[in-house]
Amino acid sequence: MMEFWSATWGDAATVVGILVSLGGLGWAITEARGARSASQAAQTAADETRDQIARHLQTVDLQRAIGLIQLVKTLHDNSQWEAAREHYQTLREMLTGIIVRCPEHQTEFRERLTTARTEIRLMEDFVRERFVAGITEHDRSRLNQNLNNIQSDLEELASAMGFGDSQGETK
Amino acid sequence: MSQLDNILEGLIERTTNGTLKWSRTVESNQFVTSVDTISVVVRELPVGGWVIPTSYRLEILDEMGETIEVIGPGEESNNRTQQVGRLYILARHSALDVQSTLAKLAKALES
Repeated sequence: MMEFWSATWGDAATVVGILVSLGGLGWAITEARGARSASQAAQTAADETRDQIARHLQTVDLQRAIGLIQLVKTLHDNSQWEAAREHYQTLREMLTGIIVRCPEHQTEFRERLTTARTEIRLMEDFVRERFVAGITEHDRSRLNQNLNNIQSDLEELASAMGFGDSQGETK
Repeated sequence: MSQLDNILEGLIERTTNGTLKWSRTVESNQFVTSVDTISVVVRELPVGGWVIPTSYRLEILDEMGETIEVIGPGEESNNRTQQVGRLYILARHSALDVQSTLAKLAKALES
């Protein structure tokens, strides 16, 4: 019996060693997985926070643009066309700022803002072309209608961002 | 076929199959759409100051809103001019939602 153990001790020790190693390897893999999922969870949380902050800033910018549209409508009503033209430019710059900061995946959001910005550019051209000859009531009505459409669109986008209320009433 | 011709063809195709929506603008003879951050504006122009509109203008604006390309009267390629005219008609149908209005009218007349 002793002979048998003497002869096979080395083999038995090897088997036990392998088993212990496998156990250790399993434990190490489990720990590594846990650490990786913890790291992934932290990354996901960081991404979500960054996304939320970006969306919040977009909403704030959109609300500022909506407020400016309201001001431009008042300028139209008072025939302050020069001042209105300056604000068209500011409005376009504001929209450009939102567009360039827009996350890559928000394609539809970007397209709607880009269209709104171009519509404002066309309004600017419209006022410039008609300014000398005089802007008629019909022109004013078309301009305000166009601004109302843009305002509604921006309010819809701000609301879709999920940060609550849109200000600025549509005239 | 040039890059501009390809772009025109793509715009026509996407407007025809309804994946590209056009919007009204302050001018009733002018429509706008955007593909990502690039805008396209099509406009029907009066010829020689008369009110008979027969020519068209297409303008492409880059991501900063600057005009980068214009196709309009004086264009050498007759085919390109015709394509802009075709795109204008499709853009108008899209922006004014002509199909929907016609469907409503047809339904109202049936009842």
